[in-house]
Amino acid sequence: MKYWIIIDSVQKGPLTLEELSTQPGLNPSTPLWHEGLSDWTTAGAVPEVAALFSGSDGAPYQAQQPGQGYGQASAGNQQGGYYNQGCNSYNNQGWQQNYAQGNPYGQYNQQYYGQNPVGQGFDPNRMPPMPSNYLIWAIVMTICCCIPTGIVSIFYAAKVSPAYYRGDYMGALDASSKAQLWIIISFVAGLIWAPFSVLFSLMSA
Amino acid sequence: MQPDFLQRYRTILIVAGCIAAAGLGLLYLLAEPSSGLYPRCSFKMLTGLSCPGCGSQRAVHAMLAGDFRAAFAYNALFMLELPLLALLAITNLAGNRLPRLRRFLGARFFILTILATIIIWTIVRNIFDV
Repeated sequence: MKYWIIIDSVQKGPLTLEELSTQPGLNPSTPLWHEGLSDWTTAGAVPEVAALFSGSDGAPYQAQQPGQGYGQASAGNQQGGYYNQGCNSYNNQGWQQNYAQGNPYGQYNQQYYGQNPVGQGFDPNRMPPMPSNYLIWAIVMTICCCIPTGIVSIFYAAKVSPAYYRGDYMGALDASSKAQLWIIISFVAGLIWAPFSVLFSLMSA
Repeated sequence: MQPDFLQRYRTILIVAGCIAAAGLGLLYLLAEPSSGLYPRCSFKMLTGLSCPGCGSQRAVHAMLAGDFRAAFAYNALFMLELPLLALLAITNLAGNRLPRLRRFLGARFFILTILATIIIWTIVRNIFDV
């Protein structure tokens, strides 16, 4: 999915979730839009984006109602654009502290880059649902179609849940999309090969 | 490739899969393995070795005819994977209602055990010709 955001009255996009996580100045009240939305909402109202803000010291993951944060953000911009003016009602002290320390993405980003000890980050209340590992498809593809590419997808399927349960949502999402990618590669390869397979079968029958 | 592709088209994929499975099931029930209608395994034709899935078409044919003993003889791994796939499907559909089972089935050691089983099975069946 691609996201569009407005930071300091400048619209940016399309951005992937990963690119979004490296945007300076992104906060829960940043106006955000993605395909399928009828109107702009806020970054904090989209679960997978809100996960970027899950702070290290108890900031809850909460989906915000669309509309609230937008007004706050524009108010903040009018007052000179300092983000902590714009998100007082977010109950997001952890994020503010992290931002003050020059680390606006908190624990989440540290984990993604492997600087945090493993096993401390999982909190189901501030994580979006676990991405699928597509294990069924991966097994079917390995046994019934294409062994090498199927093995790659099983390998990535094995990474999804462990990453998720150590709090690394982005890592889980990454493994999930790679597992899916290799399943689709397997399927397409099988589809391309199928006519040849039938041809050879008929020739040797 | 974004991870929501398979989720978005999930209903279509499930329906298409069920229709394909029903059609193939009928075909496998009616057609004899010796008829030459079954596509042959390319891996076996190219290398002469059995792949982990070799024999599953004959296994399906035997199973639909009610002969589970013969089905196991054609491909034991395939017959063992079927209930596993059913279990995974049920766990997926149950969402968060089976958290422990869900976590177990997603654990690294569990999935890597499946992977190792498939690889070991491929080696064993080629050595002992099963």
